[in-house]
Parts: sequence; structure tokens; C-alpha cells
Amino acid sequence: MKSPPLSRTDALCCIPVRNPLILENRLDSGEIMISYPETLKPWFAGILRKMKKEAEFRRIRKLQLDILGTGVWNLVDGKSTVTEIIDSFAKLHQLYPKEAEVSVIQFLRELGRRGIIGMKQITE
Amino acid sequence: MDWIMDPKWDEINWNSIRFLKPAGWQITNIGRNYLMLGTHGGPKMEITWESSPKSVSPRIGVKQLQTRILKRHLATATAWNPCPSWVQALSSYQTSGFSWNNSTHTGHGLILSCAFCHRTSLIQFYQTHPADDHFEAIVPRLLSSFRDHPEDDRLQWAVFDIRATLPANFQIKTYRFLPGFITICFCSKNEQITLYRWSPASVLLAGRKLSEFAGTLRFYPGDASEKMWDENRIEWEYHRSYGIWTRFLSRLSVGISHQRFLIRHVPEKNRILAVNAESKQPIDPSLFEQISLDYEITPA
Repeated sequence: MKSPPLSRTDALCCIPVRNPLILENRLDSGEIMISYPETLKPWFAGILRKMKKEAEFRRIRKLQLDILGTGVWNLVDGKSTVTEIIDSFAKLHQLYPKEAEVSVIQFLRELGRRGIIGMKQITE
Repeated sequence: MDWIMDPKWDEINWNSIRFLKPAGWQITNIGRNYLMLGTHGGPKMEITWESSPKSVSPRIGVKQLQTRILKRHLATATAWNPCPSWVQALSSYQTSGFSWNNSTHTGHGLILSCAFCHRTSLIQFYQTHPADDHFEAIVPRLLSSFRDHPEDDRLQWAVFDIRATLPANFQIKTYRFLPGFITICFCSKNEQITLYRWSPASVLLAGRKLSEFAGTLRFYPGDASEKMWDENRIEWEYHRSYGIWTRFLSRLSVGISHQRFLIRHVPEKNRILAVNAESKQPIDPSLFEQISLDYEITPA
């Protein structure tokens, strides 16, 4: 059963955590190249798992972050919440808070969609 | 809830509506006649406004507007007597109050009608359960700063981190608010002024000059006279060649024949600002300079 979607407030309190299967490569330009295993559709992954062929189909994809993306990536330390990352990013580039919030959330969502990060909920 | 303790207030000036708000209340949604403000915790305030058409008498127009706005936005609202401090803050407006309730929020709102500009505004304040005591201190201050028409023939604009002043005859035509990029286009009868803002400048200008950045812009007037005031301020002016035939055509056509464009880097704010003026006749230089001078980044 699917868990109910988080409220906006709860989502902002989550801690983004890096997928331990990814590899990061720092380029000469200072930007970061991330290599990550491709996320398969759950139903397709299920079939492959039964056929024991999951590893054959799981390709490694690469994602090069630009300088702003690299900045956010460096802030994903497994300790900082989304709100803390937004605040640090806004301070780093003197951004308007709402602007930083929109761009960081968009970026984290994209990383999450690719399976590069997961979100850890803080339990009180 | 940082905004409660935050003593900082800033202003919003958008399409004739002006008010002060706690700095922590940020714009979460914006339309031509609509603003929604909120914090990380959720919505705090919503405002929508309309002007009655000139063909309708002001009294009837206001009544029609009130009914329409209420019907569209608040089908389930019930009448409510606003607190004296709210009414006192809006003594120059005709006001009526309403309230509504759902599982997460309580809403209190006002419909304001201005006898001077015949504009009707609907303001709603959202409170989470249980009610927030600080609201009582914030709302009267916010309402007392509320204005729905300019006090002179200049219209001020202040949203997000930009602030500008234009003659009141310049009406908003289009706008875009994207992370890193803002543009607002205003037009009068024969002139069009577009304001631009980019950020963060340190990233956009990394390894290149302001002139190189400007050269990549879609509206960069390539075939134009360039005036470089300094490395952080460049201006271009473009006039279509002026033969009798061209002059005649420019009178007939709707296209532009003059363009003036000023771009500047504001290093201390890490922003790039630009003003682009397009017109059939050369724009009044003092007007362009005043608009450029007034266009700025608001203090953080």
C-alpha cells in the first residue's frame, strides 16, 4: 500500500540522503559528475528479479552537475534538512529565499526521481 | 516560525496594490490581480482585486464586484464582524468581514471597496489550528499600510527582490518569475519598457564580461551604438535608419524603430539588472534614465 504523500512542511523537514551505490567524480572545472544505476520501473524490476537478470538490465547512467547543482550536492551531507540546504544555498549565492527554495526543491526532486538521493523523515 | 520573531517588514507593490508585510511572508503565487503569501508552514494571506468598469455607476459596480468576488472565491464563507483594530486600520475603505473554516485552517477576511478608485479587494488571512496569537499584532499593521491606488502619477512596483517606479500610464503587459530570472513588461500607448533581473551574477558572469553576457540575450541590439560607462554598466541605443520612406513606414507600422537598453551588474547584490525600452519614437531620455535609476534590488 502506498504511504500518504507528505505535507509541504514535513517534506521540508526531511533529510536528503545520498544513494550509497552512486559514484561521484570531481571534474577539473570544479563541477561534479555522478554515476548512478538506472532506476527501473518497479513492475519491470520485479520481473527481472524473478528471472535473476536484474544486474544485466541495470545500466549505469551519468549526470554532470553545473556549478549551482554542485553547490547543492555538496550540501547534501546526510545531516542537513531540506530547509537547511535551502537556507545555506540562498546565503551562498545571495539568492532571494523563495528563489532558492524553488530551485533547490526542483533539483532534489530530479535527483530523487533518478534514484540518486532518498529522503529520510525525522522521527520525533 | 521565524517570521513571528522577525522584526523585519518589507513592502509589496503590485499592479496598484501596496502593503507592508512581515519579511518571512513570501509570495507563493502571483497573478495580474492576485497574490498569495505564505511561509514554510503554509499559507498566510491571499488577496485578489478588481476594478469596476467605467460604464457602470461606482455604487452598483462595487456591489457587483463584491458579489462576484465572494461567489468565485468563497462559496462557503459566513458573515463575520471584523475586530475593531482591523476596521480602524482601514478607515478610508468600505469594509465587510467574513470567515470560513476547514480541517486545517481558519480564515478571516475582508472585502474592501475604495470610493476613490472604485476598486474592490478581497483579503483573506489564514490561521492554523489552534489560532495563532501573533496574528492579532500583525494584521492591523499590515492593513494600515494597505493602499489600492497610487498617490501620484507614478506607480511603484516591488515584488520578490526588485523595486521599480514607472509612470502610471505604463500598464503591466506580461511577466515571468523563474528561479534566476525575472522579467516584467509594461506598455503605454507607444512605448514598451521591459525590466529584467538575473541571479546569481557570480555564476552567470563566471569567466566572461558583462558585455559578453549581454551579447547572448535574445533582444541584444547587435547593430547599435554602444556606450560602456564602466565594466558593470553598458548601454545600447538603436535607431532604425532614417530615410523619408522609413519614417513614413514607421508611422504606419506597429513595429518598433527605437530601442534603448541598459544593463548593469550589481556585484554587492550578486544580480544583473536591465531595462529595455522599445518605441516608435525615441523615448524621452530623462524618463528612461529615471526608470533605470529607480530600478533596484531591495535591501535583504
